[in-house]
Amino acid sequence: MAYKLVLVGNPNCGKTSLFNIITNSRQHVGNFPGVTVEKKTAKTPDRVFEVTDLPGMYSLFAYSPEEKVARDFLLNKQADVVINIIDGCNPERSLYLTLQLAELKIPMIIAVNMFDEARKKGVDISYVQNISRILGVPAVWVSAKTGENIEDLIDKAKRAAEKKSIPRKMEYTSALNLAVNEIEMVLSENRCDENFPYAFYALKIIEGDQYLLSSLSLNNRQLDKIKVAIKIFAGEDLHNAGVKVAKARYDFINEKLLYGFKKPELKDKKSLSDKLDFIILGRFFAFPLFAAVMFLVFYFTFCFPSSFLGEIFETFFTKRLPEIINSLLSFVGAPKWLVELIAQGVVGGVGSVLAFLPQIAVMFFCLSFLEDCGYMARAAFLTDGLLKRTGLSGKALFPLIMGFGCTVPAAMAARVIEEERERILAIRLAPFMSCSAKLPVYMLLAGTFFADFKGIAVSSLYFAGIIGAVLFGTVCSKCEDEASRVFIMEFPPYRIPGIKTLLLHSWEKVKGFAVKAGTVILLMSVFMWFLSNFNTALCPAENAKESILGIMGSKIAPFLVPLGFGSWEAAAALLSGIVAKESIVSTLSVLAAGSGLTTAEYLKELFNPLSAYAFMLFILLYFPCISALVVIKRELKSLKLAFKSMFFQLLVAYGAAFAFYQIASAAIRLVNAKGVIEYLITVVCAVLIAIIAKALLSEIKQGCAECGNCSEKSGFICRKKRKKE
Amino acid sequence: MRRSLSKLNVGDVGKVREIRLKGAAQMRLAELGLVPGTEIMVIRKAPFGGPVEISLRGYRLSVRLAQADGVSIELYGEGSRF
Repeated sequence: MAYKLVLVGNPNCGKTSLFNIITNSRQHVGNFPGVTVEKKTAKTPDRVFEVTDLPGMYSLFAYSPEEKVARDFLLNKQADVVINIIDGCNPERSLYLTLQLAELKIPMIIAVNMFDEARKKGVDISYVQNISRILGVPAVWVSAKTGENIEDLIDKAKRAAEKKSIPRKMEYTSALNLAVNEIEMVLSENRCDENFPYAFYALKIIEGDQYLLSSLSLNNRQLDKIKVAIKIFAGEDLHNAGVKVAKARYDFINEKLLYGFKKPELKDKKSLSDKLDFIILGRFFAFPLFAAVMFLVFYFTFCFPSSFLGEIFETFFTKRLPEIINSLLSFVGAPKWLVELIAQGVVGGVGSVLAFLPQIAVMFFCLSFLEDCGYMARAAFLTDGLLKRTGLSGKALFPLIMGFGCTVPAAMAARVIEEERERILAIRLAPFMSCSAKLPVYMLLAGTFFADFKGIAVSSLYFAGIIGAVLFGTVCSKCEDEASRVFIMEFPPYRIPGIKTLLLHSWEKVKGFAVKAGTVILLMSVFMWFLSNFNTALCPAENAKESILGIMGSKIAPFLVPLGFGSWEAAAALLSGIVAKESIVSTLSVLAAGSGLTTAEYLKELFNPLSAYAFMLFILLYFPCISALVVIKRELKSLKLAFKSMFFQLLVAYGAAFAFYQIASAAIRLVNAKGVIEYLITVVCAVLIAIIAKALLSEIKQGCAECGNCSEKSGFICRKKRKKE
Repeated sequence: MRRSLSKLNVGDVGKVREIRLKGAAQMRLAELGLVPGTEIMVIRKAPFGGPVEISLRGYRLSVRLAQADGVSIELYGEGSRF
C-alpha cells in the first residue's frame, strides 16, 4: 500500500511547484467534504506515495475553513509522513508552523526550499543542520524551481515513513512548560493513547482554541484545572495567553533553531521587489497601472481571445450543427418535435456551456498569473480602503469587475477571497454588476425610447447596479463590528510565475466547470426550451402565447402592473431571460414579428418611456440567468442560500422598478395635476413605496445574518445579543 | 516614545510593546510574528484610509488601520517621509 505523504507550508512557499515535481503533474483535484476547499491528490510515478497538497497556512490555529480542513486532516492521522516546506532565504516565520507540526507526533521531513536563490544571495546554509539536530527530523535543501535534491527528499521521506520516527518534544520556556505539563496530565486522564499529540492540544488550549477544547469533552473539574494552569502562566488576562505562547515560540526559533544565523536587517539595502513596489505602488503610477491591468484582464477574458473562440463555438452549435441535425433527422423521419428538441434544445445548450469555457480558461490564467507574480496582493492593498466600508476587502474587487463581463466567471473568481463570509458576500454582490448579456436589451429599449440620450440612459443603469451593490454590502455589514472584519495579508515578493502551474490551474478550473456545472446548465436549458416550446397538454405549442412559458407569463403579468409593464409579453420576455439575458431581445423580436409590426412599433405599444426604464431596471436587478445560478449555487455550496439570494434579487428588482415607476409617474401627475383625486393617488403611492422600502430594509437585514455566517436570525438580534455580552 | 501602529509614518522604526485586539485577530497577528519585542518598520500606507504595510522578521505584512490601532509600538527611529 502506498504511504500517505502530505505537503504542508506557508502560502507562496513553492508548495504547488514541489507537488507538481514530485507527482509529475498528474493530479486529481477534488474538494474536501462539505467545503469549497480544494484537495489535490496524486500518486508519485513509482506509486510509493500518495501525495496530498494541503492549502497553504501560517499556523495550525484554524481561522479560516481552509486552515480548519487542513488541520483536521492532520489531526485525524491521515498522513504517514509530512513534508514541511520552509523558505530557505527567510526561515524565521515558516519555522513557526514547523514547530507546531512537530508537536503532532507524525513522522516529518523539512524541505528547505529556494536552494538556488539562497546560494545566489550568499545565505549561510549551515543553520539547517542545527534545526535538524534540535527537532530530531531530517532536513533537506531543495529547489522547487530547478528540481534540485528532490530525489534525496523523497528518499528520506520514505525512510521516515518506514521507521515511523516522530519529532522530539520541545520545551519553549520553563513557565510555559509547567502549564503544558499540567494540561497534558489532565488530558491523559481520559485516554491512554501513546500517540495522541498531548503537547499540541495543551498548547492550543492555552492559545485559546475553543473548538479543540470542546472536541475533547472534558468535565468541569478538568476545565477548572486547565484554567488555573493557564492563569499561572499568563496572569488574569486569558486572552493574552496566546500572544505569550507565540512569543515563546518565536524566541525559541531565534535563540535555538536559528542560533548563529544572520537575519536580514530592517534597513537592509532595497531588494528588487522594493524597487518595483516603489514604482508599482507609487503615488503616480499605482492607480493608472491598476486600471490598465484590470482592463487587460477584462479584455482578454471577454473580448479578444476568448470571445473569438466562444463565437466560433456558438455559431457552430446554434447555427451549423442544428442545420445538419435537422436535415439528418428529418431524413430518417423522426417527428418534428424530437428534431427540434435535439437541434435547438440540446445542441443549443451544449453550445452555451461551451461558450463559457474559453472565458473561464483565460480568466483563471490571468487570475493565477496575477496571484503568483504577487500583483494581486498589491491590488488588494491599494483598493482596500475604498472597499472596506462595504464589508469587503481589496481582494473582492477583481470578481466584482469580472461581474461586468459575466456573472459565471465572476462568481468563480471569488475564490481568491480566503475569508468565507466575505467570499459569500462577493458572490451575492456580483450579479449587481450589469453583465454584458444585458447590454443588447438596454440597447434595444434605450434605442427605441431614449434615442437622443441613449448613452446616459444605459450608463445610468450600470451606476444603479453599482449603487445597489454598495448599499447592499454596507447594510449587510452594518450589524457587525468593524473591528471584527479583519484583513491581514502577507506581501509576497514579486516572482515570475511558472507557466506550467498557470496552465494546469486554468485547465483544472475549465474541467471542473464543464463536468460539474456544465451538465446542470445543459439540463436546465433543455428544460427551459421545453417550457417555451410546449403547451400545458405537453404538445408542441402553436405560438408563444400558448406555450407553458407564455401562460406563466400571463399569470405573472398582473403582478407587474404596478411596475408599468403588466403585459404577458413583457412577463414572458422576463421569463425567457432566465435562460440567458440576451434571449429577452430575441423573445421580444419574435413576438413583434408575430404581430406584424416592426420591433420599435411593437415596443412602443407595450411600453411608454417610464415603464421601459422601469423594465430595464428590473432586468438589471432580477435574478441572474440559469448558468449563473448554477455556478452561484456551486460556489455557495448551499441550495438554500442560492435560492435565498435569488429571491432577494427579485425583491430588490421589484422594489426598485416599483419605486422608480411610481415616483416618476407621480411626479409627472403632480406637474399636470388638475384635481384632488390625482393628489390622493400620489399620496397613496408614496405610502405604498414607504411600506415596500421598509419591508425591503428588513429583508436586507435578514440577508446580512445569512451572509454574515452567524446563527442569529436577523441583524437586529445579532446586535442586541452583542450588547448583552 | 510610544505610539499606536496606525499613527506611525512611513519609514518609522520601532519595537512592538503590546498587542491588544478583540477576537481572533490578536492571535493571528501574534502568530505572524507581531509579538512584544518584534522590530518593525513602516513601509507604506495605502490611499483612502487603507491598510499599512510593515516589514518584520524579514517579510512584509499588510494590516488594516482598525487592527493596527491595537498594536502599540515603542518608537526609536523616525522615518524621513519620502
